[in-house]
Amino acid sequence: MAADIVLGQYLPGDSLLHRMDPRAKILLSFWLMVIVFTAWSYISLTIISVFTFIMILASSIPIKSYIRNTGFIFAMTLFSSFLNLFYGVGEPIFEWGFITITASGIQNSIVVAARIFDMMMISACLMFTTSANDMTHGLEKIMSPLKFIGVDVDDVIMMITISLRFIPITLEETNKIINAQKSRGADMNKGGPIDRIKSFTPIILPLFASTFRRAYELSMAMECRCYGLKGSRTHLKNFKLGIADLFAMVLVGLIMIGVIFCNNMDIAKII
Amino acid sequence: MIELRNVSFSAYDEETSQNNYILKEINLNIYKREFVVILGKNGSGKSTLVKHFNGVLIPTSGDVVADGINTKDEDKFCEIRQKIGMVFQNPDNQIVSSVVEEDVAFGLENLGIPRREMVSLVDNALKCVGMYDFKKSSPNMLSGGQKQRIAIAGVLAMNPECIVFDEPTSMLDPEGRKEVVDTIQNLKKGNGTTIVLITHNIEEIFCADRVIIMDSGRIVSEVTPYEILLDKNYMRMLGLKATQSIDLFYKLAGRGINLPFLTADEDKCADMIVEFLEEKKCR
Ligand SMILES: Nc1ncnc2c1ncn2[C@@H]1O[C@H](COP(=O)(O)OP(=O)(O)OP(=O)(O)O)[C@@H](O)[C@H]1O
Ligand SMILES: [Mg+2]
Repeated sequence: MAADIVLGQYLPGDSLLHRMDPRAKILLSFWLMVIVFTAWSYISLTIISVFTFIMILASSIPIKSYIRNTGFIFAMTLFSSFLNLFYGVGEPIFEWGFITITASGIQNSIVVAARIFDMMMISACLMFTTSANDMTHGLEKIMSPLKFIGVDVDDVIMMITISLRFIPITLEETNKIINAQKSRGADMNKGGPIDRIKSFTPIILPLFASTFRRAYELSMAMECRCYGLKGSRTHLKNFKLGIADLFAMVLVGLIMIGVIFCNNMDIAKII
Repeated sequence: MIELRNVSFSAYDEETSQNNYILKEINLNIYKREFVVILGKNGSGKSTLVKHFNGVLIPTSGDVVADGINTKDEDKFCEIRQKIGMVFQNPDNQIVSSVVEEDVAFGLENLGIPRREMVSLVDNALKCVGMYDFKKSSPNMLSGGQKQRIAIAGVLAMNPECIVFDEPTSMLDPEGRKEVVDTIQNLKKGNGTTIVLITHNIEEIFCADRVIIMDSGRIVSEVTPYEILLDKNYMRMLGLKATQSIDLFYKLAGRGINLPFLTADEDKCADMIVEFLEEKKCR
């Protein structure tokens, strides 16, 4: 059933982050990633990593889900930061044959790993706590200033909205067609690659036909409901910035100041 | 309410590579608060006809005047479509958003209604079709009948004077069909909306004030629902199937037992028979 297919990675819940205004969430996540990219000293990285960890806790989504969703990329990151270890410049700390490890190499590899890890966690946090619909509406509001430079934001958002609704329906229909063709004796898993591609023709063609019919009927129904006939549309969905959003903004602001301030502090000098 | 004067419509036919008349010189008046059913065989031009009502199609010759507005007047398209709503066969292909209340608001958003008014209009429309509890659900989770009621709510929210239904129940199971038919009847009773209904289902013609029969692009006759039921020729011509209760009615009438009225609803039919028997016992 179409109901089984959930788009995106939204995990329903009622945490502080779930209740935040999607506009604020999207913008702050983006801003946090910028901050992550500017952090390079150990103290700055620690600040932002601790903050990321607090975010994960505040989303009240089990850490398991985060690991499951980011594990593979994270393993790749560790590997690349491991390589970074050997490409430092300056005084070698450790030398063995052609392998030299310098202090800057160590810092580089830690910085790269921590940055990518934080960014992944921040984006996962956003994805997990924002439904596809909220995301669309949030983006709509954020992008609305683009209207002034001639980008038709409304049309783009309408396209996304319709896709969100029809992707599950189309997937379901594809399954129906596959089953219908199988019940007539079609065999999808036989022969070489070319045979297999050919065996998809009886699926793709009816799917195209039915999708075009759908599109035609939908556009007619939309036209009957006055779509595109009046200049400006209004919107049912409305977001209000709450206390949680303001709090989050202040917090991210403080983090930014902290990161910039600590970027020039060397942990070695403090100790 | 809607007036068609000498309306003809032709479209280019690729097989015969010539212009084919799909509608031929149709004259028709739909009055306010009327319930009109349109019957006809497949391809007789029913859908093409009703698409002229709100200017989705413009007649090749002749005029359609809806509530004083000629559908050829492009500036008034929005007004006409707000006044005359349409509900189609496939509920999936008319629902735009993946949240019920947002879909119902779609038409209002297009009309530029301010948000504050929108909220109450959406709630009222949903209550009217009995789907208020599903306001925040995804249409994908609903049954066909429920989805069709959402589609009706979406049209209803725009406060139309007339709603045209093009085979609204032909893709639904019996339960969904009953839900939708009941909703349509409530609209007529409660809101006094003018209703035009295209159907192939005999049970849905009972509440009509007038039945229009179409054949190959022409209106061949205008009758009352009972005339259709009483004349087997009509039924045969339209390929309609009599329901069991209608058959029963005739068979009882053949034996001199006249039930008070004809109905397609089996429960009502049973009630009437029980009543009849009890009356007889008393005597
Ligand atoms: N745009 C078009 N171009 C060419 N022919 C068309 C077009 N639209 C409809 N027709 C033809 O006009 C005839 C009437 O179509 P219409 O859809 O109005 O019939 P209908 O009475 O609604 O049938 P059904 O009961 O199947 O819905 C059909 O033969 C159809 O093939
Ligand atoms: Mg039709």
